Amino acid sequence: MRENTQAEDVNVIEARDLVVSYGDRRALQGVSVSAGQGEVLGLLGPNGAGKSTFVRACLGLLRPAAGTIRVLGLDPVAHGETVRRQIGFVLEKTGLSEALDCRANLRFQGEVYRVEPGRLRARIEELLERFGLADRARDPVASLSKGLKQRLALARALLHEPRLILLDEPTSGLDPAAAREVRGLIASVVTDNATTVLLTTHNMVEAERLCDTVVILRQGRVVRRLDARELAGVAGVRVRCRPISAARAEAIAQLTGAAEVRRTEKVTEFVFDPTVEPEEARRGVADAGGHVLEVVRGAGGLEEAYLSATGRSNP
Amino acid sequence: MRDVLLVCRKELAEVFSSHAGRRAHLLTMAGQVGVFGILIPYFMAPLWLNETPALSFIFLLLPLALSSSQSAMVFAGERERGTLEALLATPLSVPALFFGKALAVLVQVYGIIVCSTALSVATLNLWVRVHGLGGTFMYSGPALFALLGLSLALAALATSAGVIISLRASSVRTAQMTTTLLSVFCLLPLMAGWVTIRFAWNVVLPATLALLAAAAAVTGLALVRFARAASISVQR
Repeated sequence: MRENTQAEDVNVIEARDLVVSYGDRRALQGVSVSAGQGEVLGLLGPNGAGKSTFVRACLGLLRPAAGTIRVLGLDPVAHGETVRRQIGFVLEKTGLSEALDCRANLRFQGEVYRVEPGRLRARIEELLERFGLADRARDPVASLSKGLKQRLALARALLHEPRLILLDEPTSGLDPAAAREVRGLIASVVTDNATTVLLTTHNMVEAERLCDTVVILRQGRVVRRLDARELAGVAGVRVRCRPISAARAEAIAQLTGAAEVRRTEKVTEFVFDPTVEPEEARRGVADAGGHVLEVVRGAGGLEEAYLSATGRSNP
Repeated sequence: MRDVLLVCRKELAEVFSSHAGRRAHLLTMAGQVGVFGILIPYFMAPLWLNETPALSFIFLLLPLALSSSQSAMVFAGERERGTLEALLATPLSVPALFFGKALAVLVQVYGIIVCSTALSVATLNLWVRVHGLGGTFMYSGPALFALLGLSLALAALATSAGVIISLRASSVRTAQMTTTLLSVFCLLPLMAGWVTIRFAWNVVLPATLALLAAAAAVTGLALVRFARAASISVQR
């Protein structure tokens, strides 16, 4: 299925000073971003920041006005068909055929990507089962809920075992339960494969949970880049205590395994990896002698980073 | 070519696969075949047996009205739903998408024309028998060519014209109204008797060739317009 384009060590996505314009308006203004094999790259940013434009540029649907973009080592405009054959995608409008049933939608996709018929049959059944659509396989897409449609769109994106998956706000418009389900499926894709994923989202929890690297865009420019370590720092479980000395804080951090310590005049904060349970972190700090004020889990850190980078934080 | 057939098959599957859609569509098509293959030939049998311009109902009206309105519906519908971008993001080329969709329209319309023509022969033979005229009726060579060949060229032309109209129209409804009005306008001289058609090889052959040339030119233009519209839909 996978075609060898360039050497495997080439970045799957490599944009250098990329400029993309819609007429006179510049949607991307010198964006440099890269994603390696198996990496999950998150693009965050407010509406109009250029996230979807970057996805379109990766697909070769938009021609750069300046700079370069290489996907799987190739220019996606000049080698559109070759590049697109190795990409799976979920765009804002899924493009699923509402009149066809789930299985027929997947079959069409497989035929477009020239999946060998025997393999295609097996793959369709496997994905229908994995995405919880087996009992709705013969139902027209029009009869599915938005959450189920999004699951089908994800299944379709994976059908031909692409090397790169582009997910443009895949949980947008879903209710919290459906969004969580879809996020879980994306997480399983991310951990199952060595596939590179580009995820655009407004959702901080999603970005924290799924991404190795997060790039924050604002008005077509990169305003902040957070790698895995930084992301864990801003995204993890934070235990806030009464202020203590630096030496004591370091000692507590070593005892509890906290990834980072932040000290201000009013509070000392221990940041734990997002995989640590909040209660476990609280107990660890309290047992080590810290006077715990509160435990914060989730998007707070990344949200603050996002708001500060996009200039939307409260004064 | 493989991709063109793939898109065409998907378009036809969309029309005929869903239970409600299939029934409604088959009923509509059966109704059209019934009107143009049974009702009109039977009640206008003397005109049809003598191969008067009344035959134009099949080889002019059907391709003009059906092809243009259906292609307008397919292309404007895609634009209205905003689903074109997802198709363009696949390895399918713009020409494969265009010709695949256009072919699906042609297959449906030409299917109705062929069925109507075949049924009209049976209907006219029944009329001949009922009225005790004896013998067996069959269209002359030029008339049959007009029914099956000229109609195909006209359907191709009307399909491409329908695409152009649909790309300019603001909605599916506007596109369909425009194509219907245009079809009536084109057929008006014939319906009013201002123009007559003579079924002879030296008329139908050049007419078919002229229509094929026009269809090729309009198809080229429609393809360019479609590619431009596709590019704009990505930029929205």
